[in-house]
Parts: sequence; C-alpha cells; structure tokens
Amino acid sequence: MKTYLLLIWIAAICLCVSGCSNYRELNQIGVIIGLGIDENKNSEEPYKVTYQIINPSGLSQGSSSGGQGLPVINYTVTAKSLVEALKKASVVIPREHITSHLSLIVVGEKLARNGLSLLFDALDRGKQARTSIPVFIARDGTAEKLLGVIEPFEVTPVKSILSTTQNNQKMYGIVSNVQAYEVISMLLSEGKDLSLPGININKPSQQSEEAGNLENTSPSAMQVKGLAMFRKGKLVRWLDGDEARSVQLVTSEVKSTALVFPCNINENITVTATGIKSEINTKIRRGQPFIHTDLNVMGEITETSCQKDLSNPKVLKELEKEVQNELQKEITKTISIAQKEKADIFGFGDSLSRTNPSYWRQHKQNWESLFSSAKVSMNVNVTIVNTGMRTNPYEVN
Amino acid sequence: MRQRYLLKSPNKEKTTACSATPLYDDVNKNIERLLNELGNSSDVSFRMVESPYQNTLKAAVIHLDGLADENIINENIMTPLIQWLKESNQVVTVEKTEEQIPQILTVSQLTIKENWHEFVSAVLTGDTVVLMNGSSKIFIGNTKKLQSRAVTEPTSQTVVRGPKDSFTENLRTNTSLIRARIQDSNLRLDSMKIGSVTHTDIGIMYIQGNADERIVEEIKERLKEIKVDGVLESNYIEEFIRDDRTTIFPLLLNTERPDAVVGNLLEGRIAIIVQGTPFVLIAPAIFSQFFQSPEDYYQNYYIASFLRILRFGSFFLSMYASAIYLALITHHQGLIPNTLMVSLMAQRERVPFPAIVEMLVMELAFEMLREAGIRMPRAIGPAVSIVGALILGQAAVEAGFVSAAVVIIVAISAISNFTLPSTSIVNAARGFRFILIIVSAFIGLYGILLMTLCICLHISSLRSFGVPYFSPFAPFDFKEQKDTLVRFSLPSLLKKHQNK
Repeated sequence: MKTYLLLIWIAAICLCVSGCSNYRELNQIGVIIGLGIDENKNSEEPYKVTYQIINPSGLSQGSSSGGQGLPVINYTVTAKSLVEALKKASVVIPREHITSHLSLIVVGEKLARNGLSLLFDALDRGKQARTSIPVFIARDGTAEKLLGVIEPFEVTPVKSILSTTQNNQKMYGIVSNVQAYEVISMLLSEGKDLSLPGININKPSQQSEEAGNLENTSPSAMQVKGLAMFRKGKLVRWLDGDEARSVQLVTSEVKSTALVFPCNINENITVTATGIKSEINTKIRRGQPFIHTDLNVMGEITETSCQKDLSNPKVLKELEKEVQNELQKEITKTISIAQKEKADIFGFGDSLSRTNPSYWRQHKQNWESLFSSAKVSMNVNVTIVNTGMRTNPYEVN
Repeated sequence: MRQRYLLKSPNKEKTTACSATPLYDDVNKNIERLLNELGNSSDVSFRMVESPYQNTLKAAVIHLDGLADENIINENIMTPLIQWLKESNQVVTVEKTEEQIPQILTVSQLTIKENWHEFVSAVLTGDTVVLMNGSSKIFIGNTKKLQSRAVTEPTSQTVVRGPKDSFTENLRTNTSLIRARIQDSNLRLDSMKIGSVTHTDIGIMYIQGNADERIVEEIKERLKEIKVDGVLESNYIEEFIRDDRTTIFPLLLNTERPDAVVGNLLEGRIAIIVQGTPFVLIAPAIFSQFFQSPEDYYQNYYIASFLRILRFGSFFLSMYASAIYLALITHHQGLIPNTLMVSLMAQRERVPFPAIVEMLVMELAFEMLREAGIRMPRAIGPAVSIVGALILGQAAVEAGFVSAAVVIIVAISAISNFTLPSTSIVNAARGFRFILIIVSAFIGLYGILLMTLCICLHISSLRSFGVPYFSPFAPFDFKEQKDTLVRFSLPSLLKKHQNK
C-alpha cells in the first residue's frame, strides 16, 4: 500500500513539474493554412511573405455568437529570411501562429524567375510543417494578391487552389500537383528539371478582395493557368493548354482528358481518354542519347460533329490512327520546346541514369546540351474501346 | 480501517463460547433460558402440550414467528403430537418418548440434537423445535419458509434471445434454478455460514471433474478465513477473497443470470451463492469474460463475434475517447486534419474555459446525471431527464459554455459504457477515464501512452485464484482465442471441451 501511495505521489509530482509545456488552447492559436512568398523590392529584406490564417469566428455558423468576418485573414510581412518572417509576423498576428496545418505554398512569378534554389530549406529543416504540401506559381502576379481573393465557392482560397488543381489533374490534365519534397528532389536532381502548376485570378479587379465578390454570380476566382517550366531552378517559360497537357501525358500524371481532332473542315471528333499509360525509354546509339516514349491511350468516342460510319471497325481503326498522329504532333512539339529551352522537365536524364549509368556519369555535366540535341522518337498507341451509348450520330435532315 | 470496522468485537465471542452447553431436562427451564437469551423477543412463539393422562408427559413446540411455515407446524407437528399425547394413555418412559417422536412427526427433515447452541440456532433459522419434558434431546423439524419474491426477469443483464429468469434473494431458489439446468450427479453444493452475527448461508457450487480441485479448496480456505459481523451482499465476500485488494479491476464475475452461472460451471468455474442477494459470484474470472454476454452463445456466431469486438472497442472508447480528444486539441493540433481543425476551432472560439475544464465539467455532469438516474425516486424521473438533457445538450452549447464537440465526445464515451454486459468492468473504465483525461491535459498523447503502459502492466500482473487475469492474451494461448475476441461456432468450441 505504501509503495502504491509513493508511486502515485511520484506520478503526480512528475505531472506537475512537467507543467503544460506544450499546452495550447484552440482559441489561442492562429492556424496558418497558406503561405505566399514574393520578391520584395527592397534588397535588404528580399522576401515578402503572406500568411493566410483561419479566422474561426468567421467560420462558426448557426449560433448567434459567431459569424463575424471572413473565414481567413492574410498578414504580410517583409523579412530577410523565411523563418525570420514567421517570427516577425507576430507584430501583426494576435495569436501564436502554428504552421502544422500549412497546406500549400504559392511562389510569386518574379521570385520564381530569379530562382527557387534554397527557398525550401526552412521548410525541409523545420520540425513543424510538413513537406508533403503542394507548391504553386502565381502567374503574372504576386502570391499576396492571389491569396487575397475572396473565394466564392470553397471556404478558403487555399482550399480552392488545392481542389481546383486536383480537379484539373483528374479531368483534363494541364497540371499535376507537385509536393514540396518533390520540388526539393527535382531541384537537386541532375536528370530532371522542375515544372510547377501556375495559377492566377481569372478576373483581376479590385472587387476580388472584397466581400462584394461573393455577391456576383460570375465572381473572380482562382484558375489553373499553365505549367511553369524551370531550368536549374529558374522559371524560363510557360507552357499552356495542349503543350502543358503533353507533359502530363508523357509523365503519365493525367488520369483522364478529352482529345479533340478534326475529321473534316470545321468538324471534329472528341475522344475521352480513360486509361493513359506512358513509358520513357532512353538508349545510347552511336554515342548519342536517344529518347523514346511509348504512350498507350485507351478511350471512347464521346462526341462527334461529322458523319462517319462508326459501326465500321475499319473507320474506327482509321480514327485511332488520326488520334495517334495528332497526339504525336502535340507531344513532339512540346518536347522540342523543352529541348530548345534546355529544360528536361520530363526526366529523360533520370531514365538514362538508370539504363546507362556509366554513360550518365561521364556526360551528366553537359546533359543540357545533349538533351537539346537528342533524337526523339515516339510510339503512340490509341485504342478506341467503344463509341458511347450509340454507334452512329443522328442524321440531321 | 475497513477490516478493523468489520472485525467482530471480542466480547461477542464470549457469549458464543458459553452457549455450547447441554440442555436441561426440564422443558420450562429450557424455555425460560431461551427467552432470556433472546431477550424476550416478541416473535418467539411456543406452545406447551400435555398428556391428559400424566402431567409429566409434556412437550413444547417452539418456533420463530414469520420465519417458520405455520401450515407445516399445524399439520405435521402439532396435529400428530397432540394426537399421540391423546392416545398414549399408558405411562411412557423418557426413552420410549425419544424413540416414538421421530416416528409421529411428519416433517420432511427431522434432526435430533442435544446441544444448547444447536437449539438456539435452529430456532433462529426458522426451524421448529420440539422439546420433551425429561429429555435433554431436541427434535428439529425443517419448517423454514423465507419471505422471497418470485423469479422474475433479470434487471441488469437482459437479453433478447435466451432464458428470462433470474436469481432471487433466496439461496435455495437460486440453487434450485441451477440444479434444474444441470441434472448431473457430479454437481456439488457445499455450504457454510459466514458472519458472526448474521450467520449468512453461503453455497459453493461446482461440477466435480470439471472444476479444478485446488481452486475449490483455495476458495473454501479463503471463505473460512473471513471474519466479519455480517454479509449483506456478495461483494462482502468478493472483497475478502479476491487476490489483489487494491486493484480497480473486478477479479470475480457477478451475474444474476442462472444460464450464465451454468455456462461457467460447465467450463469448470466455481459459483459462490450468497443468501440475500441475487448476484452470484463466479471464480476464477479473467478479463475477457467481462465482455461476454450469455446471448453470445444464443445467436449466430458471426454476429456474436462482431458484437464482442464492438464491446472491446467501446471499452477502449469509453476509457480513451475524451482523453485522446483532449490531447489532440491541446497538444497535437498538427495531427488533426485541416477541415476538422477548422470546424473544431470555430466551435471552440467563444468557449470561455480551458479545454480540460470543459471536458471535466461535462464528464462530471454526466456522472452526476447517471448517479441521479439510479438514486432518484421514480416520480421525479422525467424532471431530471429533461433538465439533464438540457445541461448536457443544446442549451450548454448555445450558451457558449461548452463546444459541441465535447458534448459529442462525452456522449460517445458514456454510451460506449453501456454496451458492456458487466457493470464492474465499466466502473474500472470510468475510473481510468478521469486519470487519462488529467494526464493527457498535462503531457498529451505521450501521457496517454505512458498510462496505457501502466494499465497493461497492471492487468498483466493480476491473478484471479492463480489464473492470469489477462490470459489468453498474456500469456498468449492461441487455442483459447476461439472464444475471446471472437466466438467460433459451437461445434468447434465444444470439441475443445471434449478433448479436455
């Protein structure tokens, strides 16, 4: 009995001595969900950092006590380093701000053009935030502006950016979300250059940052806008539309998309791709790197505006061929752009380092120039599985 | 302290010592002495009958009013006795009397004793004693008739499918309910009396051959060592005979269901039945037994297995739900998914109290409601439930005193309590819940883990009559897993018993 009492005493004392070292009430913390990093004009303090913090009272619904303000509040500070910025933010943020719920990083285009290099060191080194959060580039603008949009659909702008890009990746495939740790590994990789999704505001206006934005049926909103192509950590050019999609097709990041190709003048056929699988093959031929891409696309005809006998297998075979040619043209164009910019965003170098390690070790220093002059071949294989719920289009008389 | 209070006082031992004396020859003297010893209690009833032919031939019939069955006394003792006295017109010697009395009394049980102590105890248990003048022998006829209620449906351990009878306060009714289910010659019933004042009857039931002889002996030993004034409920026995007196975990199972007792007897356990309570103790008991309901064996075994896992889960929830919630929102916000975090923050925004205070107040409010629900007079029940629902519900949330999430968590941990078939294991969970809440408020999940380790060590160290309490989990026994977390089909379970 005595030992029991003694043990209980020891336990109680231990508890009290430890104090509530880590004790934080939910209504005494500010949860940072979004981080925007811009270039500051003052070179003394090169970073202009925007923190998007949840405003709980703007979110509480129903009860009479809540419902004030907007769901998020943005605080912007300038600083010499990112960690300093976080600490310095306490001059405006009234509550202890924690980064454990940080769910995305937006980098301003200007900063991206100057180079990302060691921007993510603080994130990688820090204990609180995760590195499994996606990174975006604010196209033609600043992260500060972008995070300032009053989001009409989702609860917060951060949620909107995340879900819009995910939706696009699933439905069409211009961009794919790249997590911070992937960014870091691509920055340090010699055989793969970085490509990041770009976002901007579809209707830039003063109103987008005011609550009035909510009273508009076609309000200002986030939109996915192209793919940023990096060379050695610096943004070099934007890829748009089909060009951007080709990148996702080669790296098989896209799950489904709509392929439109002409069948007559002003008439076209749409194939919805449901299964996309690609494989990168790199070889050395006569001392020169040779890049080959296999792309298998499975799809179904979902729309047509030209009269063709779709019940005829031969016609379908011809259509498959046409889609193949179309895709091949698109992808070749994109790869040649990449070759021109000397930015290997597809990871051909990585593939080569696996298939021909000894060659890679010798030539990795001048991979850029080797890549830009490498021969490219391609094998696109399209299979049209079916023609939807009907075979031939209805005839218009 | 408790033991000191319950131990019998030394001067009482003296009275019992001097009562082990022989009886007088004279009826009147005996009656006088009995009345004296019982302090002229008004419920002692006696009648003197005399032979019309010789006035030395007298008999006294003594019983305690209310405890004895008047009908049996009238028909089977008084009537034949008076008849015999009327007919005995010749001189009858004392020896002849002693010989004839057992032949004329028509009670089902008749014992002859010569000891004063036996005389007193026979009267006090409700038997009827016949004294003959000139003889120092007494004739004890069994006329016990305890006031007891009828066998009703169980109130604390109900089932949908299964027997609907339950034990009563009467020991004999209880043993008969078990006997009726096991009609085997190996079923043993040993009796003893415990309590220096109450002399409460205790029955120990087991099936010879199934039960471990050593455990039976051990139980009897421990029961003999109990020295108390009175036994009012089986917990009086439980607290004396269990292996570890400091633990919060129940080391004996109690049940008011005869079928549960029979099932345990068949599995080789021992039942301890106490006069005056419908709750029968079963020993040895292991941890997983407290999660087994008799109904597990009366329904499809897939469902029974699912329900058992559910019970283990809800036991875990009732202990941990509030502590884990508290640890997450006060120490480990990073572990909460973003969307949940947003809604939790919105709820807590205007709550004026720290989370720990909020949680403790709600848990205590629920415990109060629960206690009130048991203690309150039936008539004011509806009033309490209305007020209680308001305290623990919408009103408190709307007033901004507590957050809705805390109400949900408290409700979950409360409801999960009630899924367990045994109230004694629930009480253990309730105790640990509060400790866990406090620890988690101080050092978060680390504390919860530390406390869990302590609980596991504690459970593993317990023994119930030599059987490891946490078996068959620790020490692990693969074959025994058939009837712990899940229940296998009865054919495969019963095969196990045949092999034994």
